[in-house]
Amino acid sequence: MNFQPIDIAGSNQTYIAYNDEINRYQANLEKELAREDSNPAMVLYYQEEIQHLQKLARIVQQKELLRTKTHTKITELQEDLEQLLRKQKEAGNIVLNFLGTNAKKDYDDMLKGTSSDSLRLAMADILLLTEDLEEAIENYQ
Amino acid sequence: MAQLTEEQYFNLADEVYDDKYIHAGDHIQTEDGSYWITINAVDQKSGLQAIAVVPLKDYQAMQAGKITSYPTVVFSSRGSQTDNLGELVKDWIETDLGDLAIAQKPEHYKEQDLIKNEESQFIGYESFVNETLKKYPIKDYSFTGHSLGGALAQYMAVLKDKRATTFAAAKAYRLLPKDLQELVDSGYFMDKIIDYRHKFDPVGHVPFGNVIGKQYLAKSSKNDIPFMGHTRDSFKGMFKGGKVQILFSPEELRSHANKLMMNQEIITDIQLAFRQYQDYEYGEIDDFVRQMRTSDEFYDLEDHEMTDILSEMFPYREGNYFMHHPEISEKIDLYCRTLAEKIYQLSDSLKASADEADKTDRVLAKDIQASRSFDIKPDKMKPSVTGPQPIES
Repeated sequence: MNFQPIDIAGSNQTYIAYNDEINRYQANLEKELAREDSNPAMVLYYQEEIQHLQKLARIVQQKELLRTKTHTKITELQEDLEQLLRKQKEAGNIVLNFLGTNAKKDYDDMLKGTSSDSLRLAMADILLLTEDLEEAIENYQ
Repeated sequence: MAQLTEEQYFNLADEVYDDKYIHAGDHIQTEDGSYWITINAVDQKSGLQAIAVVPLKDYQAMQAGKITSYPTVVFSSRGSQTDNLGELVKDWIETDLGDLAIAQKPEHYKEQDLIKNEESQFIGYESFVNETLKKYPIKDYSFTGHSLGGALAQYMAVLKDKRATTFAAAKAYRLLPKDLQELVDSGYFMDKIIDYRHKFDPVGHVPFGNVIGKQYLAKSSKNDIPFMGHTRDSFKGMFKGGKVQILFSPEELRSHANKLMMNQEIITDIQLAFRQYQDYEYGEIDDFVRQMRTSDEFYDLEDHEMTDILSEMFPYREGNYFMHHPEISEKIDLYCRTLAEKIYQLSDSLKASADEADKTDRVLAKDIQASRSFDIKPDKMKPSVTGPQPIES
């Protein structure tokens, strides 16, 4: 996730463009109102445009705010998730080390050539499955 | 036939290395405290040295006319000559491998009349056993031996369909006739022929060929270095209640089973931790999304605009928004469930094996007790016309 929260007023080009546009309409509206024979239709037009542009600017602002809040939430959850993965990887390693040591050193060697091949195979099966589990934990996020 | 202990078999396999017992009538006291009489013996230039022994009490019973045949005869055959490591290896390469790995099958020599008894240990041993069975009234018998002696014991046990308890036996499979090799392969001798060997003893692997019966790894009193595990000394003191202390004793099996169960608990905890995290994550994201959707701060945003942003920000979405990969999450749950089940089954098998070993041990103890229950009192003894002559004390 490459999200970087930004200062909307200072950096968001769309927001800045909307504000420039609002300022332009605002200036026109003021000019229109300052005239003795101001045209009420023009006044209404400028007012509506300004309102519309203000809404668009707010939407940009709110979208950015939602992104920022979501990012904060994700960062918070990320810490919990990493803590979970760290702990479970450690737990998985304990099992893997136990099974690995026993399967490779004891079971495999001690039971080779005896009637207990089934135990050896079961152990090897479990070992492989544990390795798959380790890999899955690795790719969980 | 009274059941002998593995220790008794080992001691007989060990005593046959002592030249003073290779004569009929020799009196043997083994380290386990049992008494035996050699009723027949063979010592040939091929290197074959073997004895047929009976328990002293049976011998006495026969002499006293209380029994008409020997219920328990053990044929014990000698293997490589020494416990010295250098000589042992030399002996193996120069003599034993010749018989086991290079020579033709005994049946080939017998059919072609190419070789005399004295030149092949296997042919010589078969003749000795046949001669003993013909000469003495024998109800039942079994075989034992160490190293090449173990191979001889296994070979004869297959030929005669009898029991053999051997130690660090070399493989005699190659020398068996084809039909008997097939019988061995069918598992017929699994409960009749048992060999105990040590972990780093290469002899149990040579020459090429299948294992006859079962082969167990025993605890060793020697260092685990190649060939040292082959010496007879490596078995000495490694018996408990007459039984070989196998590398996996019932206690160790149970201990492994318990350790496995501890690991099963760890796996179950991992599964639980992931499930709990997922519930927590689901709740947190759900609350967050609801708050955002109902907040006045986003009054101007349409639903789809919010959805677009949330979808773009959260790493995964499948109905709900996720921080983790939903498919991997299912895999982890499945792996944990399968692992826990498999570990449980393995642990259960180990415990069942340990229980079975204990049960066998109890049956064996009962048999030993029963076999010791009839001691012949000296005043009840009377001369026998059928049995061998009593020994001079």
